[in-house]
Amino acid sequence: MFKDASLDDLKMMFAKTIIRYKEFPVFVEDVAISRDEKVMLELYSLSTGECKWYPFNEEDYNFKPVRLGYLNLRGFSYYLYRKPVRKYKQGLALESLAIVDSGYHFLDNEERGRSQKVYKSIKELHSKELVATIKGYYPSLKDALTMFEDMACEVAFDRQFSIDRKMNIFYKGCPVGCYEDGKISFNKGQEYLSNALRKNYEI
Amino acid sequence: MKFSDILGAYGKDKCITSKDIGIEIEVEGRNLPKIDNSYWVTVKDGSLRGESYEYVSNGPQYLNKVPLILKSLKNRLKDSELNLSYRTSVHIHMNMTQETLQTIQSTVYLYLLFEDALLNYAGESRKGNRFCLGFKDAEGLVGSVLQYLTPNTIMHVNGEEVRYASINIASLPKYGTLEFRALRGTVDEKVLLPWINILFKLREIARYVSPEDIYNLSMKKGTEGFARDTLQEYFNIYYYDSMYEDIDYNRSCLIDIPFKFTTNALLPLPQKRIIKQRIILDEFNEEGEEEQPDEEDEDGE
Repeated sequence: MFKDASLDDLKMMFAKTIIRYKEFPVFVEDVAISRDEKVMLELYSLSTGECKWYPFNEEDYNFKPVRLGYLNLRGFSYYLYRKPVRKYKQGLALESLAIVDSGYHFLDNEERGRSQKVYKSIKELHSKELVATIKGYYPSLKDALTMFEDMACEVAFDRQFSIDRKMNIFYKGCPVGCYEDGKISFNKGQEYLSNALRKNYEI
Repeated sequence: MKFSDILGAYGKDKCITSKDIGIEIEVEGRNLPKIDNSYWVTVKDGSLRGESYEYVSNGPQYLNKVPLILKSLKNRLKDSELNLSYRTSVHIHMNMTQETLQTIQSTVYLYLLFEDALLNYAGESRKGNRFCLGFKDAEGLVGSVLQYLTPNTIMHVNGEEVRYASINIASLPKYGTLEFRALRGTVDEKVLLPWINILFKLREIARYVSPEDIYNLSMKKGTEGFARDTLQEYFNIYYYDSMYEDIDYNRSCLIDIPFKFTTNALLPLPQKRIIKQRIILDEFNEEGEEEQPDEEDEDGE
């Protein structure tokens, strides 16, 4: 598809963005031409942390935008989504990424300080935990509850839902209910969100 | 209240028209003519490369003129060598000035429910394309739909936030239209007319149902019944293996829309009236011969 794209166009579209190489999320550090005139991409693997140059064989890459949602990172969770803005970047770039720190106002001061540091680290787009978000791997609600014993403040158990230590339920970054007596109760007017929690709703 | 009332209150009377559609077709290639006649004008587009033009319909047009207008363009390009690369696309502007806000909401909701099927048809190069991102690729669109498709906010859509979605709501306050950006570059009426027809069919359905109605109908009829009722004679064109699963998934991801944009009415889909609105390929072949664009305009380049 991009066979007639110039090096400048390829740099504009892919440099400093997240795409998929052999279906694994990678951060494109740079795009360049090799001595034998081949286009090469320098890829940082979000899974392994390795950084290597790879040839630009289109069949090895998936350039479609990665699916986002909640990110679980170092005891906090953040709702990530892409904005349909004009930034010329095909891959996921910081300029088109929105990060919602849903539970921030429910944290104490010490936790807020830690959360802010974690929040800043997301912007590097190198976090290994992004792989789980992109692939849709989340702990079950039952497992999420056990993670509060390990100092977690908030845990996403779905692309669109998270729970904090105080048992508040969040949807796309907004508090929408609570978990009590072994079940999720939604606030008045937001009961319809139970439809989004149905089994298998998120594949 | 029609959208034209809101546009008028903001001094945007120039946008208000009873005509249906605007069309933009981007092409790259060789020997491309500069067209300036009663049907088409030519502009340059920075996203294209090499010899390239964007052909834009000359102002809003009536739907029943579309076959003729497309034929006119195809005739003018018959000596051109087209390169319809991944950079090229077709944008359809659907006039919404004569519609209610509820119709706008419902048109957007229906489009998003069927977005995977529509992007499938639009072309492989258009899926996940940064110039026409689907709502699952750029979920910020859903928040913008909820924020801006209300009487008090519709004139304040932030174009920078939403313009590069496959459905562009920023053109509502700017031109009074919904812009559909997904279709690949083509001048083939056999591709263009089913695309235009299905988009206008969604608008026609949306005139009778709120987003809440659409949600309830889809639950009541089941996904297959809902898809068949909505796509009607175009069902076979747009059907693909995982269509029902994708609609179910989209309905879940879009759950806020029907529960925010509600109504008490639950109306059946108006099937007979919808069929009347379509433009069919036969009309393209028949009418295309009857009327030609104003050649004097073209020669006067």
